Amino acid sequence: MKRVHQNLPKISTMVKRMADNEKKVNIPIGPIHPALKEPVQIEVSVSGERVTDVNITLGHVHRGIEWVGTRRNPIQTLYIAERVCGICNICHPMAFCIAIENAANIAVPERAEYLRTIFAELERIHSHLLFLGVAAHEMGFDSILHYTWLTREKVLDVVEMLTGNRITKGIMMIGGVRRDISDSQAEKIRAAMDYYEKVYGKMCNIFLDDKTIKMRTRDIGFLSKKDALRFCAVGPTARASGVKKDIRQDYPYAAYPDIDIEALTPEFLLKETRGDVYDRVVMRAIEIKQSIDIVRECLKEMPSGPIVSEPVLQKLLFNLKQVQGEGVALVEAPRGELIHYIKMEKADAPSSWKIRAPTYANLHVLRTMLIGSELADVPVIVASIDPCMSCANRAIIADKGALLYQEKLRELCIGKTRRLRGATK
Amino acid sequence: MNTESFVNELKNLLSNETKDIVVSETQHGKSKAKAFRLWATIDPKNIHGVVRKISLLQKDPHFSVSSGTDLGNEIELLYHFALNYAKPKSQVLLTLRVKLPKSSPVIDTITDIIPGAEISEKEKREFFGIEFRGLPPGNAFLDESLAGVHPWRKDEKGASKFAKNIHNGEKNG
Amino acid sequence: MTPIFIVNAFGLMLLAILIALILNGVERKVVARMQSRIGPPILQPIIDIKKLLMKENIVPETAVKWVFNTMPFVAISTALVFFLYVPFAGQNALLKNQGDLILVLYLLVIPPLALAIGGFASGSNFASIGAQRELVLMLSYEFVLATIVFSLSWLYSVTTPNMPVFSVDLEARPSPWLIVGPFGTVGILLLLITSLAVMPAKAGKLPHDMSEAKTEIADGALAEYSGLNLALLYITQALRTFGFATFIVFLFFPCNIEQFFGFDPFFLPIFNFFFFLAKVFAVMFCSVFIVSAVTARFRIDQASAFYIFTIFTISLFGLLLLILDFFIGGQLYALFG
Repeated sequence: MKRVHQNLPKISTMVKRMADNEKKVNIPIGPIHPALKEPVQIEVSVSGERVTDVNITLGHVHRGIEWVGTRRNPIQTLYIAERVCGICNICHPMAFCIAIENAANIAVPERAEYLRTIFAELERIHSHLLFLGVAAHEMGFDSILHYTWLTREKVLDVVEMLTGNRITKGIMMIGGVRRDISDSQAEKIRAAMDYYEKVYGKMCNIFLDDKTIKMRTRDIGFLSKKDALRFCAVGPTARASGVKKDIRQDYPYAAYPDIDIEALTPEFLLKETRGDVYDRVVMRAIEIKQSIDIVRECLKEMPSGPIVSEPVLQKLLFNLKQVQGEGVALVEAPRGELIHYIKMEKADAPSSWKIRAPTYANLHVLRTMLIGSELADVPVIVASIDPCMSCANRAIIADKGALLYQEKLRELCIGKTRRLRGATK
Repeated sequence: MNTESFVNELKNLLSNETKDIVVSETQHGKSKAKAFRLWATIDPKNIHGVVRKISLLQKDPHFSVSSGTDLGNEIELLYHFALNYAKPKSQVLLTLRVKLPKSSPVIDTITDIIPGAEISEKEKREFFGIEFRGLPPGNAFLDESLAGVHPWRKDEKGASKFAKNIHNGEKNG
Repeated sequence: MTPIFIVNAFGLMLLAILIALILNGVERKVVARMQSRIGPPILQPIIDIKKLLMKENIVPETAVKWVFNTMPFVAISTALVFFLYVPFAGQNALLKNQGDLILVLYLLVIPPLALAIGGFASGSNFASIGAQRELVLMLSYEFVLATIVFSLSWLYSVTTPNMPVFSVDLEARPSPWLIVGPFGTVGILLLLITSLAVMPAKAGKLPHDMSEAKTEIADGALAEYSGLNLALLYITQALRTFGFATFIVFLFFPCNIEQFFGFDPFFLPIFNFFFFLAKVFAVMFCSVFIVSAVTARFRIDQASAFYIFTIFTISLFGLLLLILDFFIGGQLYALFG
């Protein structure tokens, strides 16, 4: 009883705390929070449920990749570039390769350009499906999360068949790519694209007609066209606000100059472009369709010929060692413009390397979107710019009670890849 | 405006500032479409004025990022802009190069013209120790406790001293 | 308070906990199958509770400790006492003569209230916001719930003269469907729909789980709880779902199986027990399983508006039909032959 008595005055603090909630509370979202898949700290000040101020801090997982890259030779760095991001692991090595090709004046064979385009678009399909799932999860709609991630398995299987790996593909090489696509593999890709055509139809049904999705995403997290331009927003985030920026259209690389690509806006499916979260979600669904068309076109138009300009790595390294110059490359990653800058000064390692991933540019607009919104909408809005995150988990159904260790898992992985590839060899 | 005439106009604009302009072209795909890159070295004092002029030619110039290299006595700072965008095959990639003496690396901020440059400039401030006049304080990446360390420098302020023990840290300790 | 009563009461409570947890496991499995997942084993909730009981009970430094630690016990004990007043598993309630529907309504309110108080006491911002949302949600749906209970009680008061209208005695309560005409049937149907609509909010399930909202406020009021406290609150959540389903079954489908089929009296309790489970499962399937698989989470303002305007209007309409049925129903039917 005495203890209770001692504690009694604290009830007044509790009541005060309840009353204070009416004023202003700082809610830290991140660095670790269920809504975020990647550490970034977004500190929101709320009054009641309304967001009044936002403060974003980065750098919790700064791995010093650029610094590491200036201490290794370009081919070693290529594999580090692939590990910048768990999802954009075609775009990063591709931008890195284009930057080096630009610095060293290496001409890439035409077939390799087409192969690069196909890989990049397959990656876009998988990334956008992943995004649609995450966006649904943030609004609590887990059925869609499971549906989109289930359908995403198909494109990962295709990628595994083509490259031998689901996630870190190891397919890019300076001056080309490392593996060709055979006719039977092309047939499999076509079949997968037909499947995604159907998935796209279903996706449109879900996202255009479902009432609860609209309730949670319509008219929140506005980004005006003016702000998108001022803050240099990129990719689907900018396009959903009506800015027709798309590197594939504006500054085509790889095989994109041969394909007439138009930067799409939500008006492709909707009546108007509002620049809210809903537009950004629908934008991703639209781009899946665009990617399907691009892959089909590439498969049809693909020229024959070599797939890499210099197959002997020692020779390539020797040539790169002689290079004095700098290169810069722009690539349209699933999330928007990706830029790599590289400077080579007749040495083993490049003397400078700079990566700018799309999320880096899009974080500026996050503040504009968040201020004035409801706290409940913060995760959906943050997810709507698709902050990049890595995810390579999946489940295995094993026999009851069996424990799987690393060797066994590796064996199962290799077996699956062999199955996928064997069917087309 | 087609791409060639835009490149020429940009060259005219920059020729008042500097003689050192390089235009490079690359080609991609079967159609061999050209992609233009412009490299221009300018005086650090003029950066604000030049960006202002560029923004008259292209409203809301797209600032991609700024990158930098430690050249020994100087820090080379590059501003990458994407201009003439949002039209098919028309974009021009402009890189403005400035060289700052390491003894006093000070330059004007461009965030008043392009607000989207804020994170990039903060990054350069933390990683190279460059002072941007007019940029609001506050770190975007590094912890406050790392004040005085500028990881991308190649001198005693760089990150090499931290890198020495990467491999034997866990095992021996 | 005879020893037999105490043994019976404890047995009932344990049975309620067991059924609630297994139903929770069934729910997770069914929803997983709907989402084409494999889902956890049906006994997963019991395994979870077992694990939580082994964990350390952490109390945050900023918490008002005794409130923080008491509230889980308040929540679970009221959630359990509820089963002593409401007919459950096909048997009449142990304390059927001591309580009535009004008391039961209050017993339904206390667990979420205790959870909200515990959330405020934990001193976490996430928990405070979760607690606020819980309270706002409660204010929105309790009104609807009261309308449902009072409509049915009014119906009994005018049709079954000698019956104590708020009684929780199973035998004294005829099925509401059997004492009304066609208009009244529609009216009761509307009331049933509204009570099913209240169910997700009472159970803290989608689309009304904004007070826990994992991706928004990191489990809300539960954010700071761990170990024993969290285990108690988990059981409370399962009991709340099961309890409200039992309540709906009692209000709308009080009949036991012997009213439809004849059975050997010796086996009757067993059949009644499974009949009751089937009814509870049907209620939960319609109001929780399917709904949580096909909706996104509402914002608190949307949920509040949903209950105060849409659902409340429907329940009033149901009451109106009941009144219409009683006063002028006979004349209308006569009119149309």
